[in-house]
Amino acid sequence: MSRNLKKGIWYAAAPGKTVLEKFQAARGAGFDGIEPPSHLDQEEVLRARDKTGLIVATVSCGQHSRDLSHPDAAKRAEAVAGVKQALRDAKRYGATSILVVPGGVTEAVAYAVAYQRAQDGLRQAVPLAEELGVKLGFENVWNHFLLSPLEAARFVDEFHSPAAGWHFDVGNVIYLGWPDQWIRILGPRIQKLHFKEYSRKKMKQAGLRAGFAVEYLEGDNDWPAVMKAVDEIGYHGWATAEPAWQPKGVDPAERLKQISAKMDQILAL
Amino acid sequence: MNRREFLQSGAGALALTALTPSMLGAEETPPAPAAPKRPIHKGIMWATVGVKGSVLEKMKAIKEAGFEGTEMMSHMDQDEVLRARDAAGLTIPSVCGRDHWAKPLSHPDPKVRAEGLESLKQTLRDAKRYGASSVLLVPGVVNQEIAYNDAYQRSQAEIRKALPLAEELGVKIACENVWNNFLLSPLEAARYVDEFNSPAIGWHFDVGNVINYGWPEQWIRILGPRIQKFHIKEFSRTKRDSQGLWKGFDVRLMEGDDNWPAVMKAVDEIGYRGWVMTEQPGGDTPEGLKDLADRLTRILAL
Repeated sequence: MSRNLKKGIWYAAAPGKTVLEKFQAARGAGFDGIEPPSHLDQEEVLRARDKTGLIVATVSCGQHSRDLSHPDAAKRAEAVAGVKQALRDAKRYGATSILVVPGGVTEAVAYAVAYQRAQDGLRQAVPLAEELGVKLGFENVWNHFLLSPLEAARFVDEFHSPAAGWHFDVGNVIYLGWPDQWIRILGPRIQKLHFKEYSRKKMKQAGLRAGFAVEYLEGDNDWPAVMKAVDEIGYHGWATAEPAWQPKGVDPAERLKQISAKMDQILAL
Repeated sequence: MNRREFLQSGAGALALTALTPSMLGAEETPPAPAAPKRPIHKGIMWATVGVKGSVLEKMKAIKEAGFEGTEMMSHMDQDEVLRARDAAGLTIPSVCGRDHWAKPLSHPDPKVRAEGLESLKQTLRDAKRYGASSVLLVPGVVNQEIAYNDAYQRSQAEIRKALPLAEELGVKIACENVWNNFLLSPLEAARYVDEFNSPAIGWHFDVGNVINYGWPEQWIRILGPRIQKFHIKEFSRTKRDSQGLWKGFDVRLMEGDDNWPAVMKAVDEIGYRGWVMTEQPGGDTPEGLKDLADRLTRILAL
């Protein structure tokens, strides 16, 4: 295989009560790395990392950063503090980037307002990111915001900082677009990839969220086109599985192995 | 005197002022729902008029239902349309292009783009002939074969070629937000328009089309004076989520998830004066047309 991609798993998908148990489950299923959330006990994470040999290449502060565009200034300040903590966690773990949800648009937070607030908050985290050498990876999620890949690229570029980048989720754009187009447009801004499946067929038959209820390689993600775009932009690094769906009645540890095998198939396309 | 002439006269302006709720005493009877609250005209998109008959017969049915105007399709027999318009007493404020889906200005084949451009130019000429102030254009289409950035560049390049004619005719090109997977952000939509640096381009805002991923009142405030026309359409997030994406449109006006008071507040805030046109199912019988007109009247009275 010519491409140099490593296989990671989203922390919450791994069964287990303790950090170590989750790391062990991920390792046991064949993953090379794991994406933990921020704000865990750093020592505990480091011990689990070293004991299992897993690599922590990215840290998620999704829950904290969602408030970057909150109407309440105190909540926005907490979100900025959360992003900074995620940066420090990442530095400690040797991760090269963090996953940041750049706020979001709601009925109460208009698009233009969300844009301004998210940039204002994130700018406060940029100096620390630059100092630590950890990049901010803004993720496209279902937050009604940065819906265009051109706008997403512009949003990153407006920071004029090497620390601003993108954490691209392949499955999250399929209800409105095509991930291979996003990958080519975002190009070198992409720090990390999330792999997720989506079915337009289910979206049309059963509803928007029902589109996620599909097995890897059985939805409408054009994985060969995605991998071609990944190769074209010269991306080398992590592809982290973030399953949005769990089939009923399957043991979580067994499911993790299934996901690992699906990832192998995708990465070999 | 039709309603438009009435509104243009001083008496109309006075009547409107007199009807503002703030001027009504608490014990007075509130205005009837049908009372015009704003100088906004009611129209219907021609393609949604399903009653059988000739152009004239359809126009008469539209008028009878209570609409003041209709958004024609391009590439019709201009003389027939004009005769019917005058006989029915309707206004044609907008013309919708015929070919922008089949021959999009974003198409990879320059020949197809050239045909799409020629069709846009004919739409502009139709509009001029009918006295319409703008044309509805789907500016481009993003799909598996046409990438977002290519659609952006190609469509702008083609539209630029039509701007001299639009400026000469005094008819604006109004890009509509539709389900074309393109210009998905209201900020981007505004930027797209502004990049032309021309007074001859604006927006044709469809209220219902953005509800799948946003809020129309936000779009209205962001697009502001760029908005030339409105399409009035309903969408139900509930139906979308329980029955499938497109089922979201299968809902009557004021029975879905459009926040109409918020939409009308935004319409007022940007100082919009002009036409709103329904683009809804149900217009295939006289009763259906009347129901659409009545619901539109209720929305405008919010």
